[in-house]
Formats: sequence, C-alpha cells, structure tokens
Amino acid sequence: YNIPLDHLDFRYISGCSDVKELENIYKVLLSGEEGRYPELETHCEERLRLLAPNSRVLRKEQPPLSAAGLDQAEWASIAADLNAWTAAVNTNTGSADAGQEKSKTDADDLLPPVRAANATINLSPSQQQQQMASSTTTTSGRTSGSSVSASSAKRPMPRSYDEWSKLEKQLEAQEERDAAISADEASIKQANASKTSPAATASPASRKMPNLPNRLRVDGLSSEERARLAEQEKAKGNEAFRSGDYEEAALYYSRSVSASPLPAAYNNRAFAYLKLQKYTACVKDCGRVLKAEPDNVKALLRRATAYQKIHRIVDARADLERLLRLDPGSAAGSALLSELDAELAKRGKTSASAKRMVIEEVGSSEEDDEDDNNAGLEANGPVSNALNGRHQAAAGGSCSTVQSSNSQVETEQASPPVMKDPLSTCIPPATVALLSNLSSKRKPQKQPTRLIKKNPRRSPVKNPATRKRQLPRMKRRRPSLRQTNLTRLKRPATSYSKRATMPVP
Amino acid sequence: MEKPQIIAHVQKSLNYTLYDCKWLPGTARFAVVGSHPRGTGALQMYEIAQGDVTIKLDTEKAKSFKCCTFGASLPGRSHLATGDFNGQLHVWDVDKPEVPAYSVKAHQEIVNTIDAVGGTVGEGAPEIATGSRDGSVRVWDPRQPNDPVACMESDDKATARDCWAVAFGDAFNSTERCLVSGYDNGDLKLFDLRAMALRWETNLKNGICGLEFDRRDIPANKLVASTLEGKFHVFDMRTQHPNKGFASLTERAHKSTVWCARHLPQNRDVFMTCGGSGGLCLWQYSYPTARVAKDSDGLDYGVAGTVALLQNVTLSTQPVASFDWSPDKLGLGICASFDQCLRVLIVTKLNRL
Repeated sequence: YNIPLDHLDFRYISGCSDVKELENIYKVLLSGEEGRYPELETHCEERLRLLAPNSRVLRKEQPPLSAAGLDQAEWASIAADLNAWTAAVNTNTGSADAGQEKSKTDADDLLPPVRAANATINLSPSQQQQQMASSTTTTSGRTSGSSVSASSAKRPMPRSYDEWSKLEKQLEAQEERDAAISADEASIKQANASKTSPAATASPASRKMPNLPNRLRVDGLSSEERARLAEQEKAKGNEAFRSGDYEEAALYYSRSVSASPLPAAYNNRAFAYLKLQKYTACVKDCGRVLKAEPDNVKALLRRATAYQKIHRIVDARADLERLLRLDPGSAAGSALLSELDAELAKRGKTSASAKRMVIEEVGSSEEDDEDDNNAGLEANGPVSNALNGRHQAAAGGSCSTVQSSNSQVETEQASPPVMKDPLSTCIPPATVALLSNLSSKRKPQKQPTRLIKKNPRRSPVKNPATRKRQLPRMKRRRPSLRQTNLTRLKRPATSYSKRATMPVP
Repeated sequence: MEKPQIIAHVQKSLNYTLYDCKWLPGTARFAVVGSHPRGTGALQMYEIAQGDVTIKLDTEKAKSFKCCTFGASLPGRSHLATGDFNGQLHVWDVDKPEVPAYSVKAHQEIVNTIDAVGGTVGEGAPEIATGSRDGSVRVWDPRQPNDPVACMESDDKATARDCWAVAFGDAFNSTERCLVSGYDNGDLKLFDLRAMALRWETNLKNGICGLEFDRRDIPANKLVASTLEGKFHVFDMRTQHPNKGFASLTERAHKSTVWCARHLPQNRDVFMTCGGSGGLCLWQYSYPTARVAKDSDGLDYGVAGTVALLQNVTLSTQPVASFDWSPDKLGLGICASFDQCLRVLIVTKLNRL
C-alpha cells in the first residue's frame, strides 16, 4: 500500500482526511504485518467512521445473534409473535386442506389458455440468412401445426377444393406473420447487441403506467380473499409511492379499495392525489376517511393542505383547528395554521373596504350595514351558486363552502376577514364584475347590461327556489354604486389585488 | 434508526447436500431439495412449530434435485416444480408425492435453475422456466405435455454458454411477461414473452449466479444480478435507452461469489445476498431524486439509485446456496448452505425501514 511507517501514528491519523489513505492504513493495521496495535486500530476505525461511514473496509463479519444473545424481553416478544403466527397459520392450513377440492377445477377454467405459438427465439448471430430461413420454417411449421391442431385435432388431409382454399388462406396468413417475426429477428441480429427489438420499442414509452384495470375482479371471492388482495394492492401502492411513481400508486390504491374499501387505503390514495396535485380528489378521499374515522389526524392534515391549495381557507382552518384539538403537538399542523393566518391577515388589511364593496356588488339594497351583511351573504349564496355552476366541480364544491361559511359567519359576526374570504377567493374577477352588473340590472342601463343580463340564465341555476326568493331583495340602489358600476364597465376586469385597493364610494 | 438484526432461530444439520429451499406460501411450511451421497434426490417438507422444525414429508427420488420452486402452484394447491441433474422437470404435489403431477424431459443436461410464475405470484398462465447447462432456456406450462411453450436457445450448440440463472418478471397482467436469463460468461438477456423477442442484452464480465426482479407482479422495476467475484448489479428496469440500455449500479460484497439475491416480499427495496464465504448481507436500495433524465438527443435514460448495507452476518464457512423469505411473516427466512445445514432466521426491525 506504499504507506510509510511513520503514518501509522495516532497524531497522523487524527490529522488525516484522505479517506483512501485511511482505508489503506486500516487494512495494513488489520493485516498485522507491521505488528498488532489494537488501540491504533480502533482509533483509525473511528476516524474512518467519522469521515466515510459507508466505507467497505468498515464492514465486519460477525456471527448471527441467537436467543441467548438478545435481550430477554425482546426475545420473548419475538418468540411469542412467531408462535402465534405459526399456530394461526397451521390451523388455517388444516381447515383449508379439508375444503379445497371443489374450488380447484373452477380455478383452472379461469386461467388464460396455454401459449399457442410454439415459438423459438434464436440467439446466435452468425449465419443469419440460413438461420432466418430455418427459423421461419420451424416457427411456421410449428405454429401452423399447432394452430391447425388447435382447431381440429388430427384432421385428415383436406378433401374438397373449399377446404384447400381455406387452408391456403390460413397458411398465407401464417407466412405473413412469420415474415414479420423474421424481419424483426433479422433487424435484431443485424443491429447492435444492446439494441431493442422493434416490437418492443413501442412499449418502453408507454411503460410508465401499467395497463391495469382500475378495479379488481372480486366477484366470487370470500371476504378473506378480498382482504388479502386488497392488502397486496395496498402494499404495491405503498412501494410505488416510496419510489415516487404517484400515478401508479394511486392506481394500486384504487384497485385496493375496489376489493375492500378500507379507510387506510383511501387515506393513502388521498396522499397520492395530493402529490399529484389533484386536490379535489384528495379532499373527497379524506372526507371518506373522516366519515369512518373522525379522529384520523393524517386525513385532517392532508385535507387542510388540499384546501389551502384550492383556496378554501375557511375549511382549511376548520380542519386544522380540529387537528390541533386532537394532536396539539402537531408541528405541521401549527405551521400550516400560522401560514393560513398570515394569508388571512394580509388580506384582512385591505379587505375592510373591499368587503363592503363585495357585498354591495352582489346587490344588497338595504342601507343598514348589518342587514347588508346578512342579506348580502344570503344573496351571495344562491347567486354565486348560479354563477359558479358554470365553473368546474371544484368551484362548485366551494360554493357549498360559501354557504357553510356563510352560516358559520352569521353565528360569528366578529370575524370580518373570514367573511370576506370565500367570496373573493371563490369567485373569479370576471364573475364578480358580472355580479355587479346583475345587481344593477333593474336600473335603466344601456345595452351592456342587457347583454350581461343574459348570463345568469345561461348558467345552470343551483337553487332556483332560493334564488327567486332572494332576488326581490335587490331593490334599492346607491347612486354612488351606479357611478362605480359604470366606471367598472368601462374598465377591463382587474385582478383581485387591484379591486381590493379601489376606493370605497 | 436501529439496524435490523439477524437472529439464527433454528439450525438443523441434515445428512444430504442441500441445494434449494422454498416456502410454501400461506403456510408455515417449506420444502428443501438436495442430493443424497448415492446420487438420489432428497425432497423434504418441514413445518415450523414452537421454536423448532418438524419434518412433514421425507422422500427419496431417482435423481438428485438441483432447484425447486412453488411459483406455478395454483392457489389452494401445493405443487413443487423441481429440476434435477438429468435434465428432468417434475412437478410434485407435496401432499401426494408418490407420482409427479407433471413430468417432462426438459433438457439433455442438468437443469441449473428454475423459476415459475402465474400460480402464487403474478397474473396469467402458470409457467415454469428452466435454464440448463446446454445453454437453452425453456418455458413450460403444466397443462401442455412434452413440448415447451417457448424456447430460447442458440442454434450453434457447441459454443452455447451454460445458463446459470433465470427469472420471471413484469407479470402484472395475463398477457405481459418477461424472462431474464444469465449465463456463465456474464451474458444477461431479457426476453419479452408477449412479443416473443429479445428485448435487451448485455454482458456483466463475470458469470451470473443469481437473478431476481424485485417483484414479479408489477411492471418491471428493479433487477438484481449477482455474479462471481463478489459483485452484484442492480438495474433500474423502468426506463430503457436504445443505446445505453438500463441504468445500473454495481456493489462489491462477500469477497467471493454472490450466490443469490432475494428481495423481501413485503418491501421491494430490501434484499438479502448470500455469499460464497458463508455470509448473508442485508441491503436497502434508495431511489434517486429523479429516476429519469434526458440525454443530449432528448431520449430518456434511467438513473440508478444507491444501495446501503444494513447488516451482515457470517453463518458458516461454506457457501450459502439458497435463501428464501417467507411471504407471510415479515422477517422470517430459511437458508440452505453447503455445510449440510438448514437454518431458520429471523430478521428484526424490518417494519421500521
């Protein structure tokens, strides 16, 4: 190893940072060629462990542990576990042996057929032409033989012209297929050793997702079988998740719940959807979990995160509060909550004025602020339903939260920022502009209003009954409102931040 | 994080050479095959109970057995497929071992290796693949007598290399399946059985003693090839580049032949390698942050991860020829070594990985 003798020294080893040299020093010390220095060896080992814990030189051979070598309690638990398992499994085997006869033949019928083509893949690259010819004949001979024999066992030679023509067509088809196969083989042999076959080049691109159905076929199986299959699929999903293939993981989890709808599988699938940024699906799955297990901390956290991403801040806060009640020490939960609060505070500063404006836009006609709030909020609900119905289910879901948040807010008048949020976050700017025009539709306005007036009817109205009830409330108009509405018509739709900073009339 | 510990639970010394051992899925029983000194085959079934193994079946057959598998055994049955020194493939019902359920002369020379899929593992038709010293790999279906359903061989028999390992993989639905075979000169060939074509081949410089996909019933994810001279290779089978093939990492272990590598059925990233110096090493694979990257031509190529040694123990001075994890109990395993000893091992703390 070319190590000078004075390198085998305590001080030198402490000062050395070259892993390779340290390894060599260690090897020399272990071999004992220069003498045995146990303390030096341990010192060198410690230094090496500090610098390169994964070094191969540090691997030690040791005998396996035995029951005697383990802690008594630990061994007792391991042994008990093993004995319990063996007892359970042995009783199962005993009962299974008794009742297995009938199911055997049924299972056989469900199997796919034996591979029809008796195919040979030739490996040696030399003498290509000869081999191709021979392989074609062998494969064609075998395949035609097998296909013919599959259709009719041991038929005598065709007698009539019709039979001959049929056989001819069959043989022609076979030859075409074999020509294709041999062409593939030829290209394989002529190409590089590491090149892929043409037949398979199409597949690598599509190999990202397995061609698997979304559900398992569990028709005739007992509940234990279903549970076992569901567990298997869930394990596969967990593994795919760990290696970062979230789509595949979601697929396996879906298969698992199709066999046995356990909350654990739904929970995992929610996490996979979260990673895939499918927030609504995540919310749905978490909802399912929480219906079955209302105290599931993970589901609450995941749903809160998903809510935050789709800007349903109120629901996120509700979930986080629930979470922190159950698990006050949750770091992620409190971090997320503080994030949400910061967001709300940011909006709350500019929202005091904006809030009032928003309510007016929807068309609360009462002068009274309080009535304004109530009416505005109630009018909000169904009207925003109508408009949001135009949007995706995501927004539609948020409408229901607008409703729920409204009811929540009516009980807690003291939190203005929260009130404001659902509206501004749910309803995009264009819709808010439309809302404003809706409110002013009874005014003698010019054409633009009429055009816009058509929109509400176009959208599917979520709650026609309530809508009709609420509309009469939009009676009084503020002169200043007209003013602002007119100005707004002239201006293009602005972003939220801009509207929030607009002056209050 | 505490490291898993390998505990030797039961050690049983037998009077014949052990070649292979396999668990019967769904039970606490396992099969052991080997060769008596007089050249006859030994087939035994053991059951674990109360801290010891009890023998359930003890038969002697005409010719020594080299390898065995329960993979093509349909659910509810216990069919053990064995390959022997004469090139015969037998499928025994271990409840009635007098007459084989299926029997065929698979090869002219010894059946070195066997793998099966479709029964207890994987989807689709039950199929058994055998690799032999005559250089051919044949796939058999127990429903078809006498003829293989697929055959991969070289026409030039004189220069054909011995096949030392086969493994099925990619059997996630009833049509897809692929078979990988390793030869004594280091050749590794991947066959796609649906397209019935060679999909990829490479050479690993040292003879390949063991091959295993991390799971047989998912789209091919990882492949471990263990070779002579103390090396094993882990291939990432998700992305195939037309020129570079599959990404791989190489690791040295055992300082002698790595006889086989076995993945934990409950966690596909943990595997055990068995060495020629009588040791076992437990490894854990970690994926890279991005498994796929683009090269200068815009084509995808895979990125291999890293492998970390969790634990290593030395069981004996003779090679450990075979190891098998129990598919039902996490951490329970059996291994057979050439010192005629059968050991039952328990690996702890695997659920915390």
